[in-house]
Amino acid sequence: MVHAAVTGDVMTTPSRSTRDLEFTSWLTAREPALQRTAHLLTGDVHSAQDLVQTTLAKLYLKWERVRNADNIDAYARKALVNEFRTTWRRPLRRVEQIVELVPEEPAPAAPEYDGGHDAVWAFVCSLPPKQRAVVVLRFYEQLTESEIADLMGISIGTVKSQSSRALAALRAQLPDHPEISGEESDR
Amino acid sequence: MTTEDLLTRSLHEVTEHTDYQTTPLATVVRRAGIVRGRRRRTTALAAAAVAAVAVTPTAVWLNHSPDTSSGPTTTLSPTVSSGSATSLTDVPFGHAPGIDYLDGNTYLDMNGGRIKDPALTTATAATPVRDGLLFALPGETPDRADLWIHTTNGDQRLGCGRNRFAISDDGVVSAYWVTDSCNPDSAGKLYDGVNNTMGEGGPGFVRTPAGVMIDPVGIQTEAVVVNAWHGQDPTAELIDIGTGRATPLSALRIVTGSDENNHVVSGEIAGQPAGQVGESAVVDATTGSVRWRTDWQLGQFSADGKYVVGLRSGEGSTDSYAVFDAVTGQKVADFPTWSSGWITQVAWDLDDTLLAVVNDGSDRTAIVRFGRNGLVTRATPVRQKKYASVDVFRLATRP
Repeated sequence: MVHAAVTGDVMTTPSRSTRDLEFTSWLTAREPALQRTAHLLTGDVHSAQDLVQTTLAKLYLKWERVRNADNIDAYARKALVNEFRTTWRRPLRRVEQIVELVPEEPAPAAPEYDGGHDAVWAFVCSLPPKQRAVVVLRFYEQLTESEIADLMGISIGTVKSQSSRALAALRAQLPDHPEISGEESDR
Repeated sequence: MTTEDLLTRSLHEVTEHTDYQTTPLATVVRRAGIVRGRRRRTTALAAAAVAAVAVTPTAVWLNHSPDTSSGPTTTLSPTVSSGSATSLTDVPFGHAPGIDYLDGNTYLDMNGGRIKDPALTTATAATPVRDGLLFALPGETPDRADLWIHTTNGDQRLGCGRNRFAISDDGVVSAYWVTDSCNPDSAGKLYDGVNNTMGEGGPGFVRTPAGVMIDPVGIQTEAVVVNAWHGQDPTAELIDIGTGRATPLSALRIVTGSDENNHVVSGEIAGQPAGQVGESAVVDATTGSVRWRTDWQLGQFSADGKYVVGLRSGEGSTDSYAVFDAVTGQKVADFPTWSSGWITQVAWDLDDTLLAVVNDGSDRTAIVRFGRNGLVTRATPVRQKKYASVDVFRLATRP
């Protein structure tokens, strides 16, 4: 029987200073990776920083649980994606950027296809959040479809369909991209 | 180059040409304070209500004079005259609940989202999970609930369970207990995960023995705080979700609240006769030692862990609610009085105000907010109750 009473089993928790040292050590090593993924998920550096800071705050609060996870980085990545999912699921959330002065000039137009990576990045940013997350996890993080399904709580079929739709859309949007050979891998 | 390769290269190109600012620990700690402040602690005194339902009337006649005998008290006074507050419509309208709640067939989340489903009309508890909305419907017997999940593809029954779910302080981890069969002798599974439900990509679980029902109450470090019911006899326990080991909280007969950050739980003290309301205590979840005790029944802790709500049964059907300092045990406020009506559920809002589902005695109901400044306001419109057995408003739990 798994469920068995264990008398006198006292859980140990680290002191605040120990926790801070451990957390800082992990933070120093792993934050850049979280920042990069967050940047690709959100599409801009400032939103990414906000997403990462919220995720780090939650990890910090949960550190006693997180530190004993089998794979802290995987836990952190899952927390990051969950936080991103929470953000995009807020239907009435108004995304506003507060500026000190009203700009005198109109905002620059979205980048146009220049035959390079900027166009691909603009395409990725135009994807719906869920599809963008699948693309980032699949083609940047190089996770398997199964790992993405597990991380996002969706079926493998959904991962496949989101991924293939994104690829098809990209091919349709960049028909003359000089670097696309037309030959697709089957990964 | 394939399209996949182009995507991979382009995404790396973006990150390699961007400078990222690192986050100092102080910023993380400061942000953690903000997160903690808005924790979605919405679990209610439902724990106490569920536990107390067999021994005390759940109706609370609000004209009961507050008990000031337990030390210095700041009595919360309603802005409306207690003698004239015969109708909920007399209570001035304030701001809406900051936590999730059910209004009839609609689940309203703290961010303004709404999920409408006829099945939610009779739901006794609900909480969003990664795959949808987990909710409990009344089961075949009073001690069982039917657990369902609402998704974009429709509703799916998960099995038999209990009508409460445990949520961690930061809303990341949820826990719930479910069995395949509603047979009382069937074994079950206690699930615990990060915004998860069972199934593909689901959380871990531990098997629980046949004949034992599990009520998840809260989340502590690597463990779920539960009441394990062996027939009519509960045991307060911490179940390690990794190993399945259960560590009894031997100071308590039944646990009613849990605060993860201060590693404390609240509940009824062990060794008292079953069926009688005796003393409650706040207990250190790590050492099991009693920090303080009171003759009030204690419920859940406030969002920041500073306060814990208490319930005291009075003469006849008069009960009282009060707020205690979670560290010292000093009573810091009483609920105000009301001329007629009763409370069926109490929950902490994120700003340390208390929300209560109030019935006014004529099947009209609303969620009322009791502010720490003494202000009493209505957080929802007044609704007419349609079903005798189910409240229109139910304060929900949310990860």
